[in-house]
Amino acid sequence: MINSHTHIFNVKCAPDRFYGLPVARFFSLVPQSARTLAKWFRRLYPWSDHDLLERYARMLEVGSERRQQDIFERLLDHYAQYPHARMVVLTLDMDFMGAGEAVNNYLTQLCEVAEVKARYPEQMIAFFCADPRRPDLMRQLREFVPGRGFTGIKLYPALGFYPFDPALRPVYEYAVAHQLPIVVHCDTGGIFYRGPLTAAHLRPPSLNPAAPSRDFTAYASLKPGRFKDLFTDPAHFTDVLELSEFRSLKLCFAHFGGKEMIEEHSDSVTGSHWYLQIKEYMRKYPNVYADISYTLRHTSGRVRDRLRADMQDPLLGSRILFGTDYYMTVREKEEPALVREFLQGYGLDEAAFQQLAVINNRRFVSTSFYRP
Amino acid sequence: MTLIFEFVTSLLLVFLLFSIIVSSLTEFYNSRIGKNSRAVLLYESLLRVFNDRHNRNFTDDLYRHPLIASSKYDSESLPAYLDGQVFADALVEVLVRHHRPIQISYTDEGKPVVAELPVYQDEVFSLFGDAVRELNSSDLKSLLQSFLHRSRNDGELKQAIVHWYDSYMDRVTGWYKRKVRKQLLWMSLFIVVALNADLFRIAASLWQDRELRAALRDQALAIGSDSLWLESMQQLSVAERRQMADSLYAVLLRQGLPVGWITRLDASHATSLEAAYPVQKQRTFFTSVSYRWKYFNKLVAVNAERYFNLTTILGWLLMAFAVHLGAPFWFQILNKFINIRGAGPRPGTS
Repeated sequence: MINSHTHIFNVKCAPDRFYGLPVARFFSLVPQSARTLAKWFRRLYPWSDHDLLERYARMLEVGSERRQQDIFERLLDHYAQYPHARMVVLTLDMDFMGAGEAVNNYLTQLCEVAEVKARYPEQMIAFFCADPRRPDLMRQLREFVPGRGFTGIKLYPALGFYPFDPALRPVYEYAVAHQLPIVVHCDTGGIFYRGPLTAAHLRPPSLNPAAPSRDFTAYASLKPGRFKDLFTDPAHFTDVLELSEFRSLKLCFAHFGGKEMIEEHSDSVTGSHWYLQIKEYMRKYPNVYADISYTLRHTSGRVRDRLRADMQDPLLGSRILFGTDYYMTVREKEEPALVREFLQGYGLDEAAFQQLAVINNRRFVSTSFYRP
Repeated sequence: MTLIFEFVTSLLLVFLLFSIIVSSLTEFYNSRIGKNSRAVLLYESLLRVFNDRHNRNFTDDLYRHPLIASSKYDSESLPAYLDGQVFADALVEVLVRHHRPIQISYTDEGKPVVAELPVYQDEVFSLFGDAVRELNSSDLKSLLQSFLHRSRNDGELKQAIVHWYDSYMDRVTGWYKRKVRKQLLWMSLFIVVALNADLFRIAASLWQDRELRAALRDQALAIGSDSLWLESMQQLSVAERRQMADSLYAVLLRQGLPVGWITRLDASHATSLEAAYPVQKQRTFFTSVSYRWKYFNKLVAVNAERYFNLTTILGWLLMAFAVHLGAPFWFQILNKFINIRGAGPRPGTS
């Protein structure tokens, strides 16, 4: 089986204000403080394993591991029952998110993941996070994919860029040339750009010359936590996918738009409906996928019903990927419980799980040079 | 003249004893709670140089290198000291490995193959040079280039690194001392306020109370004339020193030194409270808690009325400053002062 969405970056890779408060650097330098805090969280309310403090204690414990390898090994331990389990590890470039400096910059994070990949070449499927604001992006991309064993690309637009950014054109070309999979963050939750808005944010140019010019100046007064939805909006991918050279781009919209979008409770800034937009792309383009990471924790109600219906659809069912979003999910449940409850809640038998976690995922992560 | 001598010696003794209390508690704190402060400072100081935002953070690579990792107590801890030669060996290897990383290629079947190229002894120097040239322009690159400029082979290169590392560590030691001094100042302030040790109140009491002065003078002469007293104190373990500090404080209290807070209400304040809570009413749990809480509040009010004024606060600050100068400082002054007076130091034992 393949888990198509996991993270192993530790607190050292997180900018100082990653959590909003400037604590990441302190936790990086004195990881024992994070452990002690986690211990006290548990002591304050010891009667439940699901209370808020317990959940954050788990998050602190995993995130404060000294090495990314330790987090990856924790993850593998959770899948000990699957002898050939492979994990897609998504790196994150947080150097430009305007939340201060991280102890370990992005290149350091990449090099460390490359070392872990060298130790676990079969079990790890490493993805390179591309940010169009990085000056030497293509040089780094070529160095790591495939030279250092990386076989995919991660985009996280909420960190302050649009997916139609002209600087991403060579990235998409490289991905098409090597059939590289691209995972795009697509949820109203998660981390986001905290810096000041620039002209490039408000009147962004597009890589598609036929695309209409955009002006987001009217949204400039929104708080960063809301403005980020403009970056994330999957409708922006129309600029990319409409270009004939990128029609075959292998794209996965992570989280399937997120719980709020699936439930139709979200008031999206642009008014677009992300979940329906993703499904439209999946029907229209041959290589568009969606993963159910983080969203899979909802094992009842409308989210479950809709996703289960999608899984039963012959076309959509072959493009939905199993992923968990470890270790962001430890705030909700421990990994084994999350997977177990997902299988039970969705009533998936062995064949259905095989479809999501093996057949679909294998097709998605395969490239011109790598086949798991 | 005797009055001034007695006053100064007894005041010096008070400073010395408080300094011992503070340094013992600081050491106790560092050994139990802040045990890694030296190790964290070493890590931070290396981070300052080797976390290169224009390239990458090499500090963690250094700490993960087996030569350095093996000096750690466990996987969680950081080493408090690093040998210069070990550091130089690790740095050279980290840079060489950065330049020649492990490569992963894929077979025709799409399976990953890990290829680790060997590094031979005779190519270390040239590989290090290539690694430095490959880095983006930065302060770290300039530093590494300066090592290269001063060497012709890997032996000289490592020597240059060791030389730089040793002088950098001298500076780090200086920073550490400054950090400890700051820590001592905060601990002094905490102890002085916790014990309500106001310098003006203590000085006034020593000036006016002849018996107290004489008792402390005798103690001061006994301690100050033994030049090895402090040395023997410093050889005690942290726990033993903490015990010693407790007993010294007890001595000060026994002699009647005016320190501490009001802990019992006098009759005028207690009467109204006793009337509201007669003895039989205090027996139930809730009324007992309520009585204690009100008693505590009254105590706080009485203490605040008496001590929370500018003179006391200034007295605390001056006392904390004096105490943070440390036991060796005050012992030396006490020792010299007694010698000047002609009491003469007690000869050390052979």
